[in-house]
Amino acid sequence: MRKILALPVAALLMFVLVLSMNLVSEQAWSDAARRVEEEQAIRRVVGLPSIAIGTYYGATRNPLLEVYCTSLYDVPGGYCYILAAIFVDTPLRDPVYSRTIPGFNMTAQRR
Amino acid sequence: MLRRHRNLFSYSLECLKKYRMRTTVILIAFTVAVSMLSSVFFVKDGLEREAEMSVAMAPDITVEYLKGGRLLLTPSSYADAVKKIDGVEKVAPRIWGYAGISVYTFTVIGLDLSSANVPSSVAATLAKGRFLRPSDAGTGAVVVGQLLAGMLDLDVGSSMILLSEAIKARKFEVVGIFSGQSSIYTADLIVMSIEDARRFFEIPEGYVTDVCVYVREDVFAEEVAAKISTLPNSRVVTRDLLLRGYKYSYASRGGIYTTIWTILLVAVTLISFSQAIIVGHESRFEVGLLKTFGFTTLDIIEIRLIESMTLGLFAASLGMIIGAVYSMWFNAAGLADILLGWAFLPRQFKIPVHISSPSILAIYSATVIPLLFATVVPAWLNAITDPEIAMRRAAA
Amino acid sequence: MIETANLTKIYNLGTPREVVAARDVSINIEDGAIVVLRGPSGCGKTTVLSTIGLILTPTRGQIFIDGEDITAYSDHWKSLYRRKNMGFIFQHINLLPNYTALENVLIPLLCRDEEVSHYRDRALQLFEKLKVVRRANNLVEQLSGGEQQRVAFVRALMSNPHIVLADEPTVFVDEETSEIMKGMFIELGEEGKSVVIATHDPELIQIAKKVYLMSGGTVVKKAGPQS
Repeated sequence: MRKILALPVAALLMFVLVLSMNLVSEQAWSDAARRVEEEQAIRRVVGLPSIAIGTYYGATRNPLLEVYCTSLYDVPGGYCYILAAIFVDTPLRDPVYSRTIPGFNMTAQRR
Repeated sequence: MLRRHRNLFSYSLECLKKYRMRTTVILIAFTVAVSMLSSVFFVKDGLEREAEMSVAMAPDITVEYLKGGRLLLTPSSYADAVKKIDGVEKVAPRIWGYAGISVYTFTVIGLDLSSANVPSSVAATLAKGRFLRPSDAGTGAVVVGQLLAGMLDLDVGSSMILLSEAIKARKFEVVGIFSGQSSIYTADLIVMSIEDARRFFEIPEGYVTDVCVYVREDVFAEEVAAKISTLPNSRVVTRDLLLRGYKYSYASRGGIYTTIWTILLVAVTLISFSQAIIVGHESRFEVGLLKTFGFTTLDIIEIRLIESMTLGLFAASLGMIIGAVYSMWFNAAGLADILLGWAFLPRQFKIPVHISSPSILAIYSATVIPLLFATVVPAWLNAITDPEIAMRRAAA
Repeated sequence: MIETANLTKIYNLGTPREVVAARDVSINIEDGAIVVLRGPSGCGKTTVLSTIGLILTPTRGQIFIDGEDITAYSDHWKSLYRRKNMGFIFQHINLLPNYTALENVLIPLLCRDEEVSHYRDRALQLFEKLKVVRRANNLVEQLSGGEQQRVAFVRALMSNPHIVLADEPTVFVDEETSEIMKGMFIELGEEGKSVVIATHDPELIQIAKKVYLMSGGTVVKKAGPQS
């Protein structure tokens, strides 16, 4: 009987481990949200709305495609950050999103 | 009664042991699928939380200038116009842009040091040197992130030459380097005074890149944004819209990946189900025989429930642990590229990971519940059949 | 006492593949009696046995246990009744593969609210009696047909049932084992237990108090063993 208990005991232990990981992660992110004053301060001073990332997106340098890039949100630090896929991303598919982007639909009338 | 349940429990575990091949296949398939699925969830949640934190510190509203649907420099007079709007607490014109060094693109941000109100705690984000002071305005002093410092081997006091778009070289002096702790935010930054930024980008006087607007706490940003958008040629970006954009990107990219692995999970579940229903001679025979001995339908269901709960819990938990290790220790190699899309996280940074409660609940629901269904339902169907017929069908 | 009244079982009723396995079978089995169902293959012996054993639902007719009509009782009730009162020996033996002989005889007891390991000694005693104790820890796949039948016999007796239903119990065994089984059936009868055997074995027919001769799914004759 002892040997066959290995699987359910292991399952239970791992379940507890997952819950512990969850607790630790939630705590860590709560702490991060109340992060030491200095990191909040730099984010407030610089005011960039994104984390530091590079970009592979060569199209942002292509003048022919730049119009698509700038018709969506070009935010500081993002460099067409919100884009992915071939050249424009799925925010196109979100009607709430695309309707609220000024200048998004260049062929239709603004309401 | 407890003894009976213990007996059924031990029988369930024996069944798992006896049908080793089936148990192993289900375990492996589920564990692999769950580990991939969970790493998508954990990394997506981490990126979203990190974006939320960044956006939370960003200006409430950013005002840009459009002409013919294209972004142009914003007249400084817009800052004055926005200041007059009710609900606006502070307005900060900004000059920022991108500077390329070899194949890399860095974010250059010019701060108005005379009105920036830099708290002293900012100094703690620096690994070396100091932050900019009002006296640094126009002097070429910069504070750089770890990425650039590492690339050009910079130290405090080093000189740095940046090439502008006008193909003019400008010399800057490094007065501070951001620390590794804040690097996920500051890694690609070059912070300078607004005067230096204006000169570097050759932005004419009377113009800025955009205008940051901070609203009073008792006012809704959307209300102020609506008023600002009445300014001609204005493009108004609120913080809420930014966050939605990030979340949408991560969700949609993550969604494609999630779909693939969910399909695998569904496939394995269907196979388990069909094995139990159609091909499961042994299973049907066993149920018929157990009923003959006096096991009730509820007993049969309890046995199968224990089997599938044990399998499901084990596979899902192990999968999530593997997913967490893959994300945290291996930086979700391969997966991170998919989630970030055209962006990439420099190699030295750890991708943010968040093992959130909703994700864990979703993963357990997506694994344990279908497996329960796939094993308990066929067992129930066999259990409500006459035992003699169940055994006969199995023999046929 | 168990009685059946006009017991009928039709498979695939109303379809072109309809098969009448048993029709209007009325028999009774007294406490402590050994009753034999006899007849050619396909005459419905197994069907009647299964119906009496509450593991097959009749299409028509009634089953009475101690005067109570239990035909329409729930599946749950029938399972509990079988658990407390019945032991089965199947024609096809029906041991669970991948388990040992000992495990096979103890598994039926797992649905009880008792410590199953307490029955280990009883199992080994019965194995000893049927000369199969050396194979107790072998997987059933490693046993011969005769050995498997003996294990199945032990399994049926483990819970000390009031009613034992045996379908061709001696078909795979040698004469010696057949004699032992016959002796055990007699003992069961003397203990007041009812035994219903479907068989062609003349040795077993001899010990029966009542013999029902079946043909074409019905009982054509009822007799004592001498007839």
